[in-house]
Amino acid sequence: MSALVVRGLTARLDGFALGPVDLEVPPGTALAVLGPSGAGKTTLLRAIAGFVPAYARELSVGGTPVAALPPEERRMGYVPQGLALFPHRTVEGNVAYPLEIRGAADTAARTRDLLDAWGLTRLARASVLSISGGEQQRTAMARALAAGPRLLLWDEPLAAVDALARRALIGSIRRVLQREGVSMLLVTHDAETAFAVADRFLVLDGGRALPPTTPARLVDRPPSRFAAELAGYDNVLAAEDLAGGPEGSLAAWLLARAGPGGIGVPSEAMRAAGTGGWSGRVVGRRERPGGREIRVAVDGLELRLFERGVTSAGNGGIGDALRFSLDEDALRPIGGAGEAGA
Amino acid sequence: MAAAGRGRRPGAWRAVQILAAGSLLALLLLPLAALLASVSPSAIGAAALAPGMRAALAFTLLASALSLGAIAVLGLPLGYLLARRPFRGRTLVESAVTLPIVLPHLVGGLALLLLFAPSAPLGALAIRAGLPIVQTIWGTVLVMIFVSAPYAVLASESAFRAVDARLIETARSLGASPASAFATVTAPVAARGISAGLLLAWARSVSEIGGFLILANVVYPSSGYAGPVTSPVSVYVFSLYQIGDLPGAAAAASVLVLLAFARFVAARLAARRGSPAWAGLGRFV
Repeated sequence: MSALVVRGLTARLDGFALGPVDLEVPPGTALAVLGPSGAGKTTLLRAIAGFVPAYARELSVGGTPVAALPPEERRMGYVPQGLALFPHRTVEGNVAYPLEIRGAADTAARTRDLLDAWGLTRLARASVLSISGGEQQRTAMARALAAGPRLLLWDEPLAAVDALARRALIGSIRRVLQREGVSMLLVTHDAETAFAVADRFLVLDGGRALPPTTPARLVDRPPSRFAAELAGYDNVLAAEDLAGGPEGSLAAWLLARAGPGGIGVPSEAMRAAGTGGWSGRVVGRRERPGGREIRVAVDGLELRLFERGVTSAGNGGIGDALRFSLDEDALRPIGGAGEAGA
Repeated sequence: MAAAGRGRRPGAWRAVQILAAGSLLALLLLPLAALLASVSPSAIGAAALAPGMRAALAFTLLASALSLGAIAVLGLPLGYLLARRPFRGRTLVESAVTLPIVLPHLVGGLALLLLFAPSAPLGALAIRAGLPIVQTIWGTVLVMIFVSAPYAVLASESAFRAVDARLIETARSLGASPASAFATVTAPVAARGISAGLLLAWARSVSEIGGFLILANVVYPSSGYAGPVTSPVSVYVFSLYQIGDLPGAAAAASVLVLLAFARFVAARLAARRGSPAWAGLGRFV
C-alpha cells in the first residue's frame, strides 16, 4: 500500500493555479518534487499537508483518505522551508513536542532515543537558536519523526547547510528513513540533494506536473528543458532555437537529433580536435573544478565545452577559431516519446 | 588616503551622539534628582506612611489590577484578530484603537462622564446594576482601560504578527489542534511582546490624571471597593500641591519615584533570571 497517493490534485492560491497533479510514493521510498522557483512546489506540499485548500480525486496516506482531515490528523511529518524550529523550546523540547501534544506515554524514552539517533544528546538542553545549521536540520528531522508519521513532507531540505555537512546529513537521513520505514516527499531545486535522496522525481513547471520519472530516466530522456538542466546538461537548446539553420549547419544537425523540447548536450560530449568535426569561435573561458570550460559560438549557437584535467593556458584564447568533435551518443533529446513511465 | 581621511569622522560623529544623548539624559534625570534632593529621607518615610498616601496607593493598585485584567481578557483577543485575520474595516478598527493615545487626557474623562453620568441612560443602567461609575472605583477602572488598553492591543498585535505562520503550521502538522497550537506555540513565542505591552499599559494607567480629575478625583466606597474615601495616587499628589503643600507633594512624589525605581529593578532581576515571558519587561519599566 502506497505511503501517499495523489490523484488529480488542483489548488488555487493568490491567483496561482496548481495541477492537476498525480503522484504516488511507495512505502520506504522518496519522491523529489523538482521545479524552478514559482513552479508550485511549496504549494503542492502545503496542499498535501492540509494548509492550502485543494481539490483531489484521491488523497490518501497509507490507504487512508485524508483530504477531509485537518492537518493535525493527517499523520505527516512536515518540515517547512527554514525548518520552523520552536524558538522558545530547547532541542529536546522541540523533539518532544509532537509526543507531548499527543500525550504519548513514552515521551521521555522516545525523545531520548531520537536525540541519540540524530546525535543530539549533547545538545538536548541547548536553545535551537544557538546550534549550527546542520544541528538544526537534525533537530527538525528528529521532531518530524517523533510521532511516527508514515510520510515525511520536506520543503527545501538542507538549504542552509554547507556542502560537506549536506553529504553527511543525506547519509544519515537515508539510513533513518529506511530503519523507520518512513516515506518522503521532498521539494527542492537542488539537483545534488534530489539525486542523493530521492528514488523518483516529479518535475513541476508553472503549476503543471510532468509525469513522474526515475533519476535514470531523467538523465536519459529529460521531460523538459528545466529537467535537462537539473540532470546536469550544460547545453540545453530549445527546438525553436535550432530551427531555421541552413543544411549542413550544427543547428540543423542537432535539430535532427532533438526531441520536441529540444536537446541536451553534455559539455563533456564536446572535445577540442585538431581537424575535422565542427568549427566555431571561442567567446569565453573559465576554470571549473576538474578542468576548464570554453564557450564556443557556432552558427549563432553558443555551446559550452568542458576540457577535463586541462590546467595550462593551452589553446582557445578568446576570439580564436576552435575545431571540436561531438559525441553523438551522449546527446539527449528533451521531451516527447518515452517521457511517461517509471 | 581617503580611508585615513574618513577615519577621523567617526570620532566627531560619536561626539555628536554622546552630546545629544547626554543632553536628553540630563533633561530626564535632573528633575528627578532635584525632586529627591528637595526632601529628606525622613520626610519621604513620613509621606509613605501617611494614611492618605497608603489608602491612595492601595486603591490605585487595586484599580489598576482590575483594569489590567480587563485589558488582558478583552484586548489580547483583539490584538490577535488584528494580527491574524484580514477583514474589512481593519484599518478603521486600528484607528479606533489608536485614538485614545492621541486624544488629550481630559477628553477621555469628559467623554466617559457624558456617557456614564447618572442622568445618562448608560449611567442609570450602571447604577441599577450596582456598578455606579462616577466617583467610584469603576469610574477609575474605566478611565484606566480607556487610556491604556491601546498600548496592550497594539503591542500584542505586533507580537502576534511577528510569530512566523510556519511555526503554527508546523505545530498543527505535528498533531496540535488550532487551540493547542495557540497555547503551545503562538502564545509563548509572542509572550515577550505581550507582557511588555501589558506592563506599558499598566504603567500608563497608574500615571493617568486627566481622566481621573473629571470622573474619579474623589473615590467613595462602592461595590468593588470597601476602603476609605480616597483618590487615585496621582490625584492625591496633585491635591497636596493644589492646597499649597509643596513639600508634602514633593515627598509623596518622591515615594512614587522610589516605587517606580524598585519596580524597574524587580523587572530587571526577573529578566535576568531568564524567564522569556519576563525578559522584555526590563526595557519598559
